[in-house]
Amino acid sequence: MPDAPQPGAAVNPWDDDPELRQNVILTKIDWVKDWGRRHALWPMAFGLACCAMEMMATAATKYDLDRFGAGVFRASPRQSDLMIVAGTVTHKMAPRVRRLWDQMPDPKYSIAMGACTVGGGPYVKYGYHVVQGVDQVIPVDIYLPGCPPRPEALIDAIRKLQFRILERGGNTLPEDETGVGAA
Amino acid sequence: MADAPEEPETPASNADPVTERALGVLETEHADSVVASEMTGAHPWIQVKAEGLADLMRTLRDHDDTQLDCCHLITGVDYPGKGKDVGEIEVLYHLCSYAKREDAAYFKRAEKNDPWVAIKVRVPRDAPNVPTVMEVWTGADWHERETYDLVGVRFTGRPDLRRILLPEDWPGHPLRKDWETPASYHGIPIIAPEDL
Amino acid sequence: MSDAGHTPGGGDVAERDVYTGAGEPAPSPSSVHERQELVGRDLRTEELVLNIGPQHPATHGVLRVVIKTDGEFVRELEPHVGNLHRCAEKIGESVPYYQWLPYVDRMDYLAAMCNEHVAAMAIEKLGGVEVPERAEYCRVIIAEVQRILSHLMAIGVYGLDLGAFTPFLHQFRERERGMDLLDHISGGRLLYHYIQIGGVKRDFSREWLDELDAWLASVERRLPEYNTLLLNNRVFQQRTAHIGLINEETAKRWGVTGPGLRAAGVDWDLRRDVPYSVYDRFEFEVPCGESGIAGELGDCFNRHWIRVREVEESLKIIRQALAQMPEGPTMAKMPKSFKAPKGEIYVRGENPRGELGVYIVSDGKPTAYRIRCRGPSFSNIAVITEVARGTMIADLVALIGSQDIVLGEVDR
Ligand code: SF4
Repeated sequence: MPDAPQPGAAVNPWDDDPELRQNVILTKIDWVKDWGRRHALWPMAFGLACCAMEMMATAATKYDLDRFGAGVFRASPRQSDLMIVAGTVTHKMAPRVRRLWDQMPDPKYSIAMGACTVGGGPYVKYGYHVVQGVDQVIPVDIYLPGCPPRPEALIDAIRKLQFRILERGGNTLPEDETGVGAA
Repeated sequence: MADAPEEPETPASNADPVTERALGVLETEHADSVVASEMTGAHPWIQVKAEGLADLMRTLRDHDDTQLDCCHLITGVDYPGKGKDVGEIEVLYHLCSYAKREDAAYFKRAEKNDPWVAIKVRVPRDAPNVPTVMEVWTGADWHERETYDLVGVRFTGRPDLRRILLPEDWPGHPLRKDWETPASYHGIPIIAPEDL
Repeated sequence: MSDAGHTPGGGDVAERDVYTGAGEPAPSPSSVHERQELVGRDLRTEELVLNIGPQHPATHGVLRVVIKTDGEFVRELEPHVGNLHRCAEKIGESVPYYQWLPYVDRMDYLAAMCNEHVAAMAIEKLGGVEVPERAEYCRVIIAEVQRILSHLMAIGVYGLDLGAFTPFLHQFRERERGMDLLDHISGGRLLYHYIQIGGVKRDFSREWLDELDAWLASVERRLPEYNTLLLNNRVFQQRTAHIGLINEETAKRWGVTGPGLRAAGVDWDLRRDVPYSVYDRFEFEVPCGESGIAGELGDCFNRHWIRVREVEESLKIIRQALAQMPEGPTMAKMPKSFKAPKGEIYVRGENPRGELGVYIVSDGKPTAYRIRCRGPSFSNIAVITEVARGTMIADLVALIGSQDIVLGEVDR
C-alpha cells in the first residue's frame, strides 16, 4: 500500500501502483497495428517461374515460413498484403502483375525475389520479352537477388520487411516517391 | 530395344535407313515434289516443294513403309540474302514413328542413331507461305503458331494463325535475323543489347 | 452458367416463374417434355466465359485458360501461353555455347539436370566431342536423381491440386534431401549448370555417394507411404480415374510424350528405345498405363501412377549405374573457345515430362546460328484444347495437374 500522497505532489498512479505497471501497457495504436501486421503477413501465392519453386520450398516442410508469421499463402490478391514477385516478369505478364498489385488492399508490401525481378537477371541482355526489373511496374520494398535465392535468403528478406514495417509504419510509400511511372 | 550385338549388314553407304525409306516413299508417290536430299551425316534431310505439302505429309503418315505418326517439332530458320537476293526461310519438320517401334529393321541405325525424319521446305523470305499440316497432325497447330510468331512464316489454309507466345501487338518477328529490339513496349523501356 | 440453375427444378416453380401469358389460365404441362419446353421459352441458357489464371494456383504457374462453360461443363477451352516467354532461342543465337547451357536449366526448372544433359549431348554431337565414360555415368545418375525429384514434386503438387495438402508436405521432406544432394555436388539447389560440354563439373566424392545411398533408401522406404496417402486413397481415385482421357490416337496426333503417352498405352521411352548416353547398359522397365487397376488407359490416374512407378525404375537405374561406374576423368579436354563445325543436329532425350528435343544449326562460329528447343510440356498442354471439352470444371483442374506442365518450358 503506497503512502498517502504528499499535498502538492503530482499524482502518478503509474509510478505508485506496481499492479498497474505489470498489467497495463501504454502505446500508440499505430504501433500495435504495425506490430500485428508485421507478424501476420499474408503473401499471395503468385509463382511466375523458377523462383516460385524456391518460394514453395520455403513455405514447405524444411524451411517452414510459418515460423515467421508469413506462411498463410492466399490464392487471391484481395486477401493478401504481401506480393512476393517470384520469377521473371515478361512484357505480356507485366500488366497483369500491375493489376494484381492494384487489387491488393492497402497496406501492401512487395518483395522482388530473384535476379529477374530485381533487374532482368540472366535475361537482361538478349531477353527482348523480359521486363528489366519489376520495379518498372510496381513499387518494390525489398530487393532479393539470387538466381534463385535460397530459402534462407527469402526468410531473411521477409524478416527485413517485418522490421521495416515497424520502422516505417504500416503504409507503403506513395507511388510518386518510388519513381514508378515517372518515365 | 537394346542394340542387337550382331549387326552384319551395316549399310555400306552410311546412309540413314529411316530417311532413305522416307525418300523411297516420296519418290514413288510424289516424285516431282522432292527437291534435294542429304542421306548421310548426323542430320539427314529431304527437301520438298511447298506446294502440296499437306498431301505429301499425309502420305508419309499413312504409308506402310514410313508411318510417321508424330510430328515432333516444327522449326523456322531465317536465311537472309545479300544484296538483291531476298533470302529464304527454311521450315523444318521433324517426324517420328511410334507405329514402327516393334519393327527391328526400322531401327537399324546409321550414324544418326535416332529414327526421326527431317523434311525441309524452303520459301522466299518476302512471301513465306507454307501450307499447313494441321489436318495431318493436330499437334502441329501450336508449333505452326509459334513458328509464325517468332519467325514469321505464314501457314496457309488453316484457321486461327495468331501469335502464341508474344502479345498480339508485338512488333515484328524476333527470330528473323534483321529484327531490331524495340525501344519500349507499352511504356516499359527495353534496353537494347548494344547499350548494355 | 445456365439460368436454369437458379430455379430449383420443380414443376410448380417452373410454371409460376415462367408463364407470362396475361389473363389466360396457365396451361398445365402434362409431361416432363412439355414442361421443359415451357422453361426454355423464357429462361435463357447462355454460355459463361470463365477466365482462369494467369495467377491461379491450379495452373502451375502462369498459364491462362479461357473456358466457355455450360453449367458445370466445359464447352470450349483455350489455353493462352507465353506469359513466361524468356527468349531462350534468341539467347542461344547470341551467346556462345558454353554460356547457353545455364539458360537450358531455366526452361524446365524442375528438371534442370535432364535439360542440361540433352542440350550438352546435342552440342557435343555437333562439335564431335568425346565424353569420358565416367562422366556419362555421372550424367545418368544425376539425371535420374533429378527425375525422382521432379516426379516427387509432380506427385505432391497433384495432391495439392486435388485438395490434399499432406502429400505435398511429405514429399518435400524427400525432395529437400535430394536437393541438398544436388546442392552439394553442384552448388545450386534448383538450377545447377553441373553438366557441361565435355563432361560434368566435378566427380562424386565418397561422402556424397554415401549420402546418395542413404537418400535412395529413404525414397524407397517412403514411396509406399505416399501411395497410401494418394494413389490408394479412394477419394483420390475417384477424382482421377476415368477423368481426362487422352487415348493413344489423340496422344500421337497431338505429339504428347512422356508419362502422358505411356499412360495411353504406348510402350515408348527414349531411354530404352533410342538409348542415348549409357542408358543401354541398364535393365529397367518402362511403366505403361493399365486399365482395370483403378482407372482406364489414358486417364489422370494412370498418368499419376506412371510417375510413381517411374520413380521406382529410376532408383533401379541409379543403383545399377553406381555399381557399374568405371574410374576415369569426368571432363574431356575442351578448348577455351569452343566452335562447332558447320552443320545441324537434332537430339532428343527423355525428360521427366516427355521428350525434349534440341535442334541446332551451326555456321562454324562460337555461337549457334539457330537453336530451337522442343519442350515436352508445349505439346502436353496443347492437347487439353481437345480433351477438356465436355469435362466438368473441377475435372479440368485434375486434367491440367496430371499433365504436370512447367510453364518455363512451354514458353521457353
Ligand atoms: S532469377 Fe533465376 S531462378 Fe529466379 S526466375 Fe529468374 S532465372 Fe529463374
